Amino acid sequence: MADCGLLDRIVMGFTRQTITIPTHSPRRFARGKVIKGCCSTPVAGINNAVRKKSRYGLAGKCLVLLFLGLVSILAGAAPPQRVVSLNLCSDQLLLMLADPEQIASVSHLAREETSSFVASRAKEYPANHAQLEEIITLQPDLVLTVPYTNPRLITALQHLGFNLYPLTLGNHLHEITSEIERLAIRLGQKTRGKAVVDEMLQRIASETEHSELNRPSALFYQPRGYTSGTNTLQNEALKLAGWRNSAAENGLQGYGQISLEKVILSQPDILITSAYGKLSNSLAEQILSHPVLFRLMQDQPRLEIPYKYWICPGPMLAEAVSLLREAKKLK
Amino acid sequence: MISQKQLNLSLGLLLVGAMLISLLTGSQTIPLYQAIEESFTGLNGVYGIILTELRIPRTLVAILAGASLGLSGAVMQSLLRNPLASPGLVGSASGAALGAVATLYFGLASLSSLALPMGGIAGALLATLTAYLLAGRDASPLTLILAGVAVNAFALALVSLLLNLAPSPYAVQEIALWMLGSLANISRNELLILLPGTLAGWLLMWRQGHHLDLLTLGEETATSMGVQLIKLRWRLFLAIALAVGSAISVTGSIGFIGLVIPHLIRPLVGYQPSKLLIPSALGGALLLLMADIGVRLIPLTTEIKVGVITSLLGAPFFLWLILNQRRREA
Repeated sequence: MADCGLLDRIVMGFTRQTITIPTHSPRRFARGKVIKGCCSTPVAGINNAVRKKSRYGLAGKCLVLLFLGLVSILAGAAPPQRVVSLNLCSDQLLLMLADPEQIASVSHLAREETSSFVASRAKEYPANHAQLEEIITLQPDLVLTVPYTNPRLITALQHLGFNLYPLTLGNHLHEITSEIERLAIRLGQKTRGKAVVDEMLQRIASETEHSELNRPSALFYQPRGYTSGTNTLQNEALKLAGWRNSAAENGLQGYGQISLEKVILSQPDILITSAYGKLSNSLAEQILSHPVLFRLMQDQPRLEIPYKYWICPGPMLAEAVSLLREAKKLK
Repeated sequence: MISQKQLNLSLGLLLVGAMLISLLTGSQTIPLYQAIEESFTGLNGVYGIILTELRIPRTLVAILAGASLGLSGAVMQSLLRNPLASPGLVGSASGAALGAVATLYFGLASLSSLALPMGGIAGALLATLTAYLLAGRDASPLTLILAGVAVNAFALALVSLLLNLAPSPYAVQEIALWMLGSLANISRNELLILLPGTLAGWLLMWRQGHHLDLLTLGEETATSMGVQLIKLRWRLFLAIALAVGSAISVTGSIGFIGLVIPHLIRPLVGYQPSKLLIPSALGGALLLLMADIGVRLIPLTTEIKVGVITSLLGAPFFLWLILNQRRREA
């Protein structure tokens, strides 16, 4: 609920009629100027709406606040010039969408070759470790956060008056594309965002097979038996590429473990792995070479999809989809 | 009082029953008859694979490891003439975990399948000897426990440190596994790793019961009756290290079996060490197997560690032992 926390504060400001929102706005703007100018009309209405809705509880309040947040964004906050991203998933979108001079810093995770799709580009910018002191020193005018950014860090950043842009990191294709488009608009890069989305959709849509009959089953199988069920990026990619997701069929929602016995009984047609970094020695990884898997799938190769294609939502998912499609052709 | 034969027979029968339940228990229900048919006809059926590749190795490892822990507890309590001596409390188990961690996460174990159990055995031996030397000969139960606490704490701190230093990104999350023990996803590879050391350890303990009986009369009397005490001590410490070390290097440190089982069996065999050994092995196997069945039956998406169950049973028992001891001293 990190985003709600932010919006909560924004509305608190409104409801108190003090319009404290400028504390969240870029320092380069004069206090109060941005919001007074563009948001004064909706203020009264939203103010009432919030009061009325308050009895509908947090969810209703959040919706209103979300709307309010969007209004204030769409209403034309000027493109930020010093954006800091705190997480691999926001790093990648930022590096793809923003002009180089707009980027103040990306997280150190963005430089890791195995997980980052834009590792080489990330190395051109200062790296951060999502530490408060680093962020303050960077003096950003926009900070990109993700749902699992440390909530304490978010609160601290809000108190200090930094502008935050929370990404939602949805796993469905339409959520991914709309997130890219929204972020692009916020960065003042609408055309680039549209181009990225168009290219992604084009790659995924090409040769899409709609035959529901010919869908072999696949299992994303990771160290310690971790896998991806419904509402995950892996599920979305498998679906788009014409596979059935064995973990989802076993009733798994989100990310979780699947027991070896379930794997054997559901007899997936292929196992897909994504190595995170180099192979190492651990009990977690031993499960991938459990003799039972070799007996079960003697002549069925495993497919390695580089993690950077589907560890975060973004246009690189198209790469995973096309690798999965190629593997399906061999079936 | 029941005779030793009857005791062994009934424990054996219980163990066979538990084995059957173990083969029937898992995250999926499988038709046992069909599974057996598939595994005997050599078909690559899924039920046969689940039975032969997952459930049988897991059941056998539970039996072998449990037996080693129960047996080692009985031997240790008799050898040190100390009711609180056991692989868990003296530090052999955490030493074994340390040795196994040192070989597994730094690549030694992938060079040779012998490296992992050798690491466990060496760690167990080192920890046992350290605790023994710290406490001194004829140590009171309290002194031995204190020495054990020190060795345990040191070994577990090193396990933690090594897992943090290990190059694998998964290592740190496996601390709990090494401290609590687990039999999940064990394959026949692990069974083969565990087997040689276990059998060697048991063989070294074979027919030592008589010497342990004499030892109950006191060290001097035992020596005068022909017990070579130093040789016996070394032989049994080595045996415990072999059995416990190879078990723990596969399962992680599983607590309290070696402490609890001999105490439960002792009144049934008339407090005679030689009669204690086989029933303790059977009882240890039974307890670990039952605990592992329990772990599989608890409906969670992620299995809890089997050591959680043995500790939940064992820790209150340990307290009861201490209270009992206090009452006797008072």
